[in-house]
Amino acid sequence: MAHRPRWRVWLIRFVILALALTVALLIEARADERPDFGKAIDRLVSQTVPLAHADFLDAATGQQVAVETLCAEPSRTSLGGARTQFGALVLAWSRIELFRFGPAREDNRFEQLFYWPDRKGRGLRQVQALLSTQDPTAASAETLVQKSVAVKGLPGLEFVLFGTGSDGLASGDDYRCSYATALTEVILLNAATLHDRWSSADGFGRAMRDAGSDASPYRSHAEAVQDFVRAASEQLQVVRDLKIAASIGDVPEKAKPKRAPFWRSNMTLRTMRGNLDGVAALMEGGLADLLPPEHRNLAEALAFEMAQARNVFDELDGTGQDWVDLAAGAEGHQRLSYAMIPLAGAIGIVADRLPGALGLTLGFNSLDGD
Amino acid sequence: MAIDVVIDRRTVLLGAGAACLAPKGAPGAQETPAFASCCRMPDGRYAAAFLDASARLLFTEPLDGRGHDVAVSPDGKMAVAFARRPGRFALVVDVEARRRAQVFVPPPDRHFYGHGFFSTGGRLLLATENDFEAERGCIGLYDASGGFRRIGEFDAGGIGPHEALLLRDGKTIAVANGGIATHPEYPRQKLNLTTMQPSITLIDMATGDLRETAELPPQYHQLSIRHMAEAGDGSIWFGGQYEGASSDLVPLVGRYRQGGGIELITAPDALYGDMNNYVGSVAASRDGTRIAVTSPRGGMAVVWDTATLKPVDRRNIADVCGVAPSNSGFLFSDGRGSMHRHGILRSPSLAWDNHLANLDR
Repeated sequence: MAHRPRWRVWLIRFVILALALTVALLIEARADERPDFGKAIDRLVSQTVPLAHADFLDAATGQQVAVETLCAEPSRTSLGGARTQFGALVLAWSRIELFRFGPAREDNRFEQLFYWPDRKGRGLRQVQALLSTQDPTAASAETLVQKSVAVKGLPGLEFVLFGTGSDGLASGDDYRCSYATALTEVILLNAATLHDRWSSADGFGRAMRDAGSDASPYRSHAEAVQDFVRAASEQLQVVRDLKIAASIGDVPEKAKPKRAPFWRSNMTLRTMRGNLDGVAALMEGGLADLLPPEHRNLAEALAFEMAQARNVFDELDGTGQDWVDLAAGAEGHQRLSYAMIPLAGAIGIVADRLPGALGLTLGFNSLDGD
Repeated sequence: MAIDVVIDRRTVLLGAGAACLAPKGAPGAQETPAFASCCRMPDGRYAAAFLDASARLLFTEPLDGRGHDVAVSPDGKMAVAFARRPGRFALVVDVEARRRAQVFVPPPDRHFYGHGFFSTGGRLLLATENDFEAERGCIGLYDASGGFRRIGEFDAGGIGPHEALLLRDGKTIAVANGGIATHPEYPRQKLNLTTMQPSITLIDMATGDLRETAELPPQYHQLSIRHMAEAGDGSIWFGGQYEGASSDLVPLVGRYRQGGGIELITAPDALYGDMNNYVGSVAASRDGTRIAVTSPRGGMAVVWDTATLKPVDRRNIADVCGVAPSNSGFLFSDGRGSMHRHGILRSPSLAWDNHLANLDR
């Protein structure tokens, strides 16, 4: 065996030690660069999400007052007030619609508030049946709350306030008014519960903040952030695929505008804009802070894509045309088709690029199920 | 296309055994395909992939979109890769010739759910399908000896049939009806979460008659039964995906015995809690005494003893989903391109899809 001089042995040892130290320092430096998921979650669940739910709760309270006023003093004016407040209510809803997980899944609260899509019109038929038979169990919140999710949420209230026969509310329609009142009370109850479950000391927000503890369904704050990223991605897909593409069809002649939500109140465009505002709030309220410097451009790129789509919604809303006419008309169809392009770009950013930029391990199999 | 395969020698050597994933050089034309799985390729496109007994990649065939499971003929010579729901293609691969044979589609008013199986003699291919206008699940029947012409269908006995298999008696089809209504106009949107009713149904292979329907207790109606495997004792083990609140802790694994209904399998809370309300795949060991379930969202695989009904092994593997029996237990695949048995065989430029099928039966 060849003899190796002692100094060379020490030199080799020194080099190995230096290399090991360098690697360790590099690993530590990388660890320091990891996004602070806990901080982002703290901000999201203490500010962004509760504030948006508080807005919805305020709007639900306003809706209840407006319907009470309508029923106490039926008139064109009070009906107009209730209808205007409905616009504020669904706008506030559209900004929290993306939170389909957590409290929204408890007791099917999401569906209780927003039974949509209703492809076969089951909810509509049930609401119409209640009105035509004047079912007394729908006339009080205590019994309405026990009925099908399809008859006690926002689509139901929209039909009562805007659907066939709703003008009768201006001259006093006792049953319709009682059902409307019960609806606003159940919606208010669900709005309050949602807000409470996100905000209370033992609520879902706390569970996200306490990720990693035995009491939390989340094993890490990164996992909790994944749910918010997934929510943003799904909301963008819902707007593009379910609300626009499924409504306008390939050509105007094949449009089915009534598939979109809130067409009766002509709030479709504004609520789609609200959906994008909800995603923007999530980014600005915590997710964008997590992006490392080399990926900060993603937040700007996403904002740009969503602004393009929002501009189309605003432009079409500004025409004053009904959604139903717009979506089936050549010009509206063309503009909405165009809006799907930046929305596709936004989906690509949130679904494909954001997780990697944040260092999240959204897996090929775990991200989107089977 | 070149695909980088990296063998993790350290982990291989840790588990050195008769059938470990040991590198033996590049697989050659003489290697026999032993496993099949759909995957995402390095360029982002999708393919059906065929591997040898050491889980080394032999060849791929491109798919028109993301695939799901692969059905294998009884003689192992033919494999059919199904589109992931709500896809509409099925790719037939001649395994011996190592090339595609044909692509077929369901009728315009149906789409595949991603699973299927061959009849005992291999003459028929049966596929789970969605009759989406009627919100009805069905099993499409295709003539495997006649160009995969669709020759009829059976009613699945529930909404959202996902995995279906032919039981060992060769006469009975077991169907995992997930219970979730979907429609291609609302891609991947779950339309009936509040009223969903998953079930396991048994269907007569000869007549299509519904023999038995087993449902979950009402409090678990949001546990979508998706995947299953037949154990050696004839019980059907299944894994579910829970659609209720994430804070709910529910059993995700159960078994069904003909005439005996469904029994949910108890396990430590921490185990089910870690599975994140999601089981992605289920397989039985070759001797039928073990059942493996994977949870990609939990990043873990759990093996159950079918006699004691106890979990006997757990492996933490990020994004694991595919599982198939092998001579020495189970082979697992993950979305990061790795195959796991005793060792790990890495193909980091690939992403293995949800399921892994055996060709060597």
